[in-house]
Amino acid sequence: MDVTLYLAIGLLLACVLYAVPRLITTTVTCLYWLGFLFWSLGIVDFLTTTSLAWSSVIGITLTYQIDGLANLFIILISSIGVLIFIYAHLYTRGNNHKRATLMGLLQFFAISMLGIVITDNLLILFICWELTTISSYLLIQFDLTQKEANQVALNSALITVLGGLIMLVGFIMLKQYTGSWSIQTTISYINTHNDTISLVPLFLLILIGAATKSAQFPFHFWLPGAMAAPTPVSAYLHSATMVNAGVYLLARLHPIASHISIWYPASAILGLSTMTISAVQSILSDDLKALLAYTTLFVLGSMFYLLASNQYLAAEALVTFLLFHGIYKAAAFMIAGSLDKQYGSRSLRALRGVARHHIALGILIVVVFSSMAGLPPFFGFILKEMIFEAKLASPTFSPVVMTLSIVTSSLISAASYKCLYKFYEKPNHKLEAKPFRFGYACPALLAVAIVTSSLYPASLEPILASATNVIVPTGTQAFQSVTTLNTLLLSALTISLGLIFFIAYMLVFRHRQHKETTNFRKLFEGLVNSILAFGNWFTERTQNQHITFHLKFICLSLGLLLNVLVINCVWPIFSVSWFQDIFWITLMLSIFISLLTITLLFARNFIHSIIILSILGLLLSFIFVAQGAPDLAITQLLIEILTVIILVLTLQHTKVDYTYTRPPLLNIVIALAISLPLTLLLLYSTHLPLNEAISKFYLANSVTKAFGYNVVNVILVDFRSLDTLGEAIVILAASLSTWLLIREGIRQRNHIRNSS
Amino acid sequence: MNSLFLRVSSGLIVPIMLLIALLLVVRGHNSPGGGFVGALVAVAAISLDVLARDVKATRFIKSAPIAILLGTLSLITCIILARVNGYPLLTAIWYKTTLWGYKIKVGTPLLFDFGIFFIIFGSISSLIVTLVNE
Repeated sequence: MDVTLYLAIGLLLACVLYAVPRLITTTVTCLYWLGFLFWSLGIVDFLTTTSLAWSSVIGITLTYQIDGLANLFIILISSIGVLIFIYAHLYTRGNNHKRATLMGLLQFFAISMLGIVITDNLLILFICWELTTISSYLLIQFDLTQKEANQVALNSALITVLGGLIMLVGFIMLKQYTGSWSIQTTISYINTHNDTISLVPLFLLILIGAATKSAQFPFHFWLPGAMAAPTPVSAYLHSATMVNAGVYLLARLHPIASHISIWYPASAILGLSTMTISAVQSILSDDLKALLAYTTLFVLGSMFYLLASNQYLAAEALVTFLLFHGIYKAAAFMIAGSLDKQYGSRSLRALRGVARHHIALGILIVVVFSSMAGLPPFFGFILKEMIFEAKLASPTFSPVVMTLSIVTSSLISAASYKCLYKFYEKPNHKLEAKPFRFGYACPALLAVAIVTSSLYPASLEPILASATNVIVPTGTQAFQSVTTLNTLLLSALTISLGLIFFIAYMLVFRHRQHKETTNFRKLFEGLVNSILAFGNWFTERTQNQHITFHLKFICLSLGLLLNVLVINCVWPIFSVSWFQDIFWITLMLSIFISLLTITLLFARNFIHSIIILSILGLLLSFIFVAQGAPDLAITQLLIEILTVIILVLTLQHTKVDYTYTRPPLLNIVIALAISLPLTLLLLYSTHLPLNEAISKFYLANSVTKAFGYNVVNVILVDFRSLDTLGEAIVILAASLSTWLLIREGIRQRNHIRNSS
Repeated sequence: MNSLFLRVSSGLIVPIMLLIALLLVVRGHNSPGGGFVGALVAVAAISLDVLARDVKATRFIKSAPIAILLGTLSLITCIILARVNGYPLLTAIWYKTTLWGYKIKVGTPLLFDFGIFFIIFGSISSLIVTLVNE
């Protein structure tokens, strides 16, 4: 089966999930993702990656690049995805409406994330990138009644959409430079053409895209805000999808890093500042989900720092971190969600002592949170060693950086100790748990995965090694995790510093209610609000509600333009003979119409003026008959009839009284300023030589090629049918909006009537 | 409006007007008429019916969405038929057959005209019905 088809089936599945929120559809979805998992692990090879031309004119082809890096991400997305779907199914038990929306959106989200990592086309990558933004926006503001959720969802969407658009500019510049949308072609082109100067602005644009998506400082604040989403969403968003997209993009483009002078410093600065700001926040948080969100930020910062290196070791640490962080973070979020479901709170204060009497839950919590802290028996410890090793070998290494990373890691460890301590602390009241069946099954599976990978780290090596070789292609070293004395010392230092920080926290902050410092968020919201306020202010100044004022303004400018045109071009060649060719019936009718128009000025009320207007229209249709245009005449006649009906029907409800008053002088001037030059222009136009070629073509071909004798109709439905189609769509849209407006008007009036 | 004369005569006039509308569409390719004009006549017929009866126009409430659906479907068919036959979109396709000795040409332009007819009819009649029901 082709991958494109399989993805299309996935999208269809999202609709099915939305329509049928049952166990069977969840099972099918899990099987679907297991298919991806087994395929990427090489167990079953049922998918082919033939490229498919979508729009060859602008160079969009659906080409896929399934290499080690893509495989790693497919494994992450699909394996955690399966567990997330199961968890989401359990999480929404008893609420089918909620389940339908959640599962459908999650599937859409997962598919678009998968699109990012397997495509080889920059434009497709961008499209999938924005699709994840849209779906995450919908997922974060899942609870529509919460104003807060709405606001944070809007923040995340605004930031990531803006970043995505900036990134698109970078992609377009890249295409201009290399001449191809393909990522592989781009990389090889840049590696063979050594121009270092021109790539810096382009890279900065792409970096902004990646940094906004991966929540780097100063765009970091959307990620802690995004915890307003339901917990299954948070678990997926933080572990395997969304935030990893930025890391993926930089890792994918990493082979060209050495050609861009500012890659290493820019990425390192972003990473370090994110690490610092998040580490401080995480230990101070009381909300379990917020604490986890800040640790995610820390991990993302570390990943960006690891990307600022050309060493094989750094890439190795990065891919290991990606996989392992995905596992333990998903588990931690699921535990938080289950605790929230059971005890009705996410506050660590309220969750004190939940693990005291549940041995199984206690083991689960210990495994997951010790992995987060990087404590010895688990894989997190090896990971920490690898990261320290990579940092020691990094080109941007300096004592300051090392101190900073040790301090921040210790703070994150301290945050994990804090969670563990709180879960085992003696509660000051009896905890009452609501039942949540199988609520810990998914995190338990992940904990098993953690333990297994800690016992047999070698089993992951082939996957990680092939991913590393994509990021740093020059190195063909074997995958290695050497624990040296230096790194061991650093780990010991981190663990003990973490303990000190934890004790310090307990002594100082224990009884202090920590307030979330969301300065950047406030700044951003203030910026958005001020833009909106400026728009409002500007509109109020320029667009006041008086439609007559606007009409006067428009007509006056039009009249001025027309007069200039007529006085300069038409008036010098005007002659009375222009009137002589007019057919006498037409002339008579025109005189009659003019007289009627004058009476229109003195109409007493709306009905009078409507009647006069309709008579005018009927007379106009007579002119068409006289000129030999029956089609036009019929249409005009019918339009007049229907206009009268619609106008009368509309006006019978309005309370506006219309009494005759003499029009102000300005109105008369405006009317004359438009009508006189228009008349002259029309007269002039009848004396212009027409291009006969077009009408001759239609006359000659309408019978022979389109088999119709009514040339007007043949033009409408055959020669220029696209125009007709467009007009039909316009009329449809106009009538739909009118219908909606009328209905809304009726509803409001009924509302007023009912309330009074 | 509640006039006996109008009410009785509308029962006779409305079907005739609808027939005329149909006739206008069918013969539009060769003589004055066409989908747009036909739709306007049909809408005029409906407004006559609605106005003459002085009741809530329940009879045609469902006709507008159905007409719009039919119109959209026939337009899409027109577009796709050309593609299926390997021509650019919207190209007119003609089928010539002989039926009882008469040569008959049926083409997508007629279907297209019917699509326009239904869309215009649905759009404007929905407007009028909504206004009357107000």
